Amino acid sequence: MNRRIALTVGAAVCSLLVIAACGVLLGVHPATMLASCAGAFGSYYAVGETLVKSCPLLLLALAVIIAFRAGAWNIGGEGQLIVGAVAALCVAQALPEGPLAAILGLMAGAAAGAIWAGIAAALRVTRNAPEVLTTILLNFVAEHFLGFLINGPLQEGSGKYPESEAVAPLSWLMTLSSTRLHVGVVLAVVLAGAMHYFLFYSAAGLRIRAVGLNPRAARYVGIPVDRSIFGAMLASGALAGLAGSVELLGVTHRLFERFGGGLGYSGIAVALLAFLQPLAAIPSAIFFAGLARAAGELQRTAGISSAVALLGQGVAVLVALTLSAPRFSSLRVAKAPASRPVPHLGESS
Amino acid sequence: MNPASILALTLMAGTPLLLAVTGELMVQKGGMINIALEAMMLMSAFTAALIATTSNSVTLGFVAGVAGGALIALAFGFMVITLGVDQIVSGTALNLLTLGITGVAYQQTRERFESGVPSVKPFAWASGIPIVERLDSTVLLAWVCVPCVAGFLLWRTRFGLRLRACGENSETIEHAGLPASNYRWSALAIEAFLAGIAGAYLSLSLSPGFAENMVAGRGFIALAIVIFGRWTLRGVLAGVLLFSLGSSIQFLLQANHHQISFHLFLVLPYLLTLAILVLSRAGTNAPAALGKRIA
Amino acid sequence: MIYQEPRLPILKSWPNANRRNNRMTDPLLELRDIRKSFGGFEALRSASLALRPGRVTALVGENGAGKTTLMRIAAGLLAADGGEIAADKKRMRSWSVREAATFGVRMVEQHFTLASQLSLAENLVLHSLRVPALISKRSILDLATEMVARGGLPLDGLDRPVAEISIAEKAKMELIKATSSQPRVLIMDEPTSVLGPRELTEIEALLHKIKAEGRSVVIITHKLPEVFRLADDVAVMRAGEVIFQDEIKNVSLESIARMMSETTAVFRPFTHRQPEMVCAMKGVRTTAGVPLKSVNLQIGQGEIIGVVGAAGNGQSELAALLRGLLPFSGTVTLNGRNMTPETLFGSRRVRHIPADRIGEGLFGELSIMENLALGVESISRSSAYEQAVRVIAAFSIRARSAWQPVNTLSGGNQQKVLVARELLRRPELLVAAEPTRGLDLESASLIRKAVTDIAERGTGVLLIASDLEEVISCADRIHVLYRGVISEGFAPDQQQEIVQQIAGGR
Repeated sequence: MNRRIALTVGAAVCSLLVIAACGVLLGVHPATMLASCAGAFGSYYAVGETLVKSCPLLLLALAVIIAFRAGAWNIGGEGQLIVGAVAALCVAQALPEGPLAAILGLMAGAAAGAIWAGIAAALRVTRNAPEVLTTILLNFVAEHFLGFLINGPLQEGSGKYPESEAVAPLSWLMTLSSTRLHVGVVLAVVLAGAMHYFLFYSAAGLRIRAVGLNPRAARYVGIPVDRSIFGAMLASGALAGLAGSVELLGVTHRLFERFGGGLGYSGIAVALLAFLQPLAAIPSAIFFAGLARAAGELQRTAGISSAVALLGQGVAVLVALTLSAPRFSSLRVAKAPASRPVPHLGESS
Repeated sequence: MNPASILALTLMAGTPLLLAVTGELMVQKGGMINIALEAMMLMSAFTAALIATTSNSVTLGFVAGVAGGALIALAFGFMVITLGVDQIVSGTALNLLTLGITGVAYQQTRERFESGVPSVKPFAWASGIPIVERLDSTVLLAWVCVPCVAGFLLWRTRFGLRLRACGENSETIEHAGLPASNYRWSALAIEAFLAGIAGAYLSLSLSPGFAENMVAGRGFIALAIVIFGRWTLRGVLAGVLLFSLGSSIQFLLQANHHQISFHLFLVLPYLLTLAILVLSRAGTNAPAALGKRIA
Repeated sequence: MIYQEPRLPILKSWPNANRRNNRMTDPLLELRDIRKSFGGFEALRSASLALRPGRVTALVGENGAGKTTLMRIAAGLLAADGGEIAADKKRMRSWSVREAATFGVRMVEQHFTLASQLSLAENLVLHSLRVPALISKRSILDLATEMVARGGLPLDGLDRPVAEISIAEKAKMELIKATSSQPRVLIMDEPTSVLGPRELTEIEALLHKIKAEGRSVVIITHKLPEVFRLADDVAVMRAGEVIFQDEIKNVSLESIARMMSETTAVFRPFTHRQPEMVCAMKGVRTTAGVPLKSVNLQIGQGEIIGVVGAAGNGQSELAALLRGLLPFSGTVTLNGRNMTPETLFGSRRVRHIPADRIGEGLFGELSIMENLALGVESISRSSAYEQAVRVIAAFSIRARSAWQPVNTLSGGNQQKVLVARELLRRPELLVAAEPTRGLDLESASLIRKAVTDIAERGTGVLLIASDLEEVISCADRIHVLYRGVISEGFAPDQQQEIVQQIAGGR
């Protein structure tokens, strides 16, 4: 456990170092880079913004965790998030404004996400289509579907901008006084705790993990493997859909092009850096959110693409994977000097 | 919308796909699923465009494209073959990383692309001949040489035999005193070369220039086609042909029906790929050790 | 395990471990003081073995004694931590697969290393150094045919894919792969576990040929009667050391058994009269894998019904069918109710001990506690812990704690966890496939006792095993499974008839 925390922190530090190195290479003054960090954690407001940003990331990471733990490669968080946001918008706009619209909007988002993931799950279970591909393909479908909606049926009244009408303010998620920090953040943290309890303290969670680790053995213990995978995918989709609706009702309030913005893929990075531990996903999500905020700041001040945040995610995950790899330790042994040659044959005894 | 232009479009749109699919077929026959194929193509599209504009040479662009693809292949191979990390997880991480790298690098070099990227010239000798006049040597290479060479390599050489054995059960190779990792690395190198050409073709010929995430899922589509083709050369060729025919018809329809949102047309290739996956009843005939690390 | 009456004259005195026969020719291959550790576990502490030309050496010992490890080192498949290897009296500086193969050491391992979508011919030539860089179907087939001829075991249909052949043929393929290069030292790890008597005769002939050519053979086995049938020399391993090596004519079966382990467990069978029926199968047929053709079986309360036969004759299909994993025709009833695959799968009162411990039985990464918790419908974490502590004590499982992942346990202890899990709630029907295969005597007898105890408490047990002695010692009635057909039931003392059935005779 402690080893894993050390690995995670080490990987995070590595990604920061790589970004810093990039910055230096591109001629950014170190002071500017430090200042950009202040944009993530420097003030009450900045911390609030970072937490707001981490909320969908955490939910998406939880979505990835439940699916990966069950042995289902749900790479479709992006699409499920978009579909969830669309559903939340439609429901919230259809209902009279108020908290009820927000609550039903969240539920609709979760349901839509679950359905979107359910397509891939059904194709895997009935047609043996690998979900790693179908979920990715459904991401593209959702993206273009969103493009169609905001340029067509859901476009704002004037018809000028490729975005939807905003949700009525009374249907927004409650926020904390001066920041944009909304109740969705609390919801995400509660769900992380619940997921931890479910996976490690409940019989159903144990069965889900068992399916992911050894589906053949799971069958012999009497666990319905296909149904478990299907269920995990639905839960995963619901969480991703919830991330979309939380983001819509709590932050953006409207749909626009690139609403997903790669959040779904970042969620995978958050989950992997947390080694698929729901509680560890909380700091992991905050770290990546801070990284994204700092990258945004860097883009404004130094003109470096905010894609540097993606680079940081990639590095962090690759480093974490490398350090925890099954053969990493043997790699070190092989590289060590011949103080202890591996086959001792031929030595006179 | 005449048949000739459909055919020309099909061949051109299918070129990067065919190259990528052939590369992925090699790698999967050796027992690996490389979803970082997307990253390979994206990286090579970028390096190719960048070097081609800087040096004003298309040839150097292609070389750089291959180098870009090789970079990602190296990272993937290190993670998967050397370290034994899960293939899908490694691939996903590399896709993220490459989006980041190309995004940052493109931002820094954006002004170089403004004057336009030198692009591959169609066959000069063929001007006037319908279809052929619109093609270039990459298309010819992709549709004629690559399938022949790949098929020969996989099914008519000792190397191919051992690579296929690797994909079924790497121990069979290890026990014969041959390191299975060498065969997997070789397959990866071939894929890197083909994906590198494919990426370079995207940014130097099909749509000269670079845009963030310009590969747009072609790598994933290529993976789906390998499954659709049931890991046979004939199958994947049919898959590529079917797919690019579909997408070129979509393209022409889109050009002629302005009243329908182009987003609905853009969705078609992905829906088509999904349909392909649903129809192919994947899994049967798959290499037995696909996705497994070397014991 | 009950040992059969030895067929060879028995030496009454204890053989002397130090008495090595020096009159014989120089050894082909000699292993001296080989050491090997895995993690903290010392698999070999100082093992020495000499293999002489023209001799068949039986390497016997309990499971975990280090037989396979030592032989993998001899074949270059594993690097030793220390000690030395001498080939032709020459001390070797390094000993890799390549060097071992060049000298002529080949090992046939217990698990198959075949590429299932390649043809038999392609699989054979993979190991040949004579494959040309460019190949064709024809050239491969010719080369393979030649290899089979050189190997000395008949096998045809070389263009079939491996996926389509039976397990006995696969075992034969492995032998041919090893023998076709005419190795000077041939090592076989438990070669008879999946072979039928017919193949056994073929192997005997092969051994004669190899001996006549002055080559050397090692057979790793735990079946002592086989030792006396096939071997010239015997070497006994215990706890990572070779404690004894001598000619077979100087030793008795009992003395070897005593050397292998201090505890020898013999199980007493028991019989029941007119039990209540638990499970009945009538005219059951399947199509997948090795198709079952008309299975008729009846299992009563407290009965142990044995199904014996060489592996690959439909055993795994029979087990999968009762788990509800295979569609079937015909009727299966459980306590009088007609069952479908769905209801069989849903039935919590049918429990399974799958043959493939790691692949189908346990979850290696999960802890003992979690593996056990999966055996019951629903359980809180604290009671799961208490349950695990109880099981660890009751089955004397050697583990640091209940949280230890099962893949860090030894094979015997893993199997104890598996069996314990399936017996947590007394099942109505227990399907036990190869419950003691490859286990040390102590674990095996403990597990056998657990299975018979549960039967005495009223569970119907279907015991599927390839080891005839195991089944005879436990079962009330014995059926033979041969090519998907189940024979009528035999009493345990009808050994003659059973053996005939296993061989496929009618």
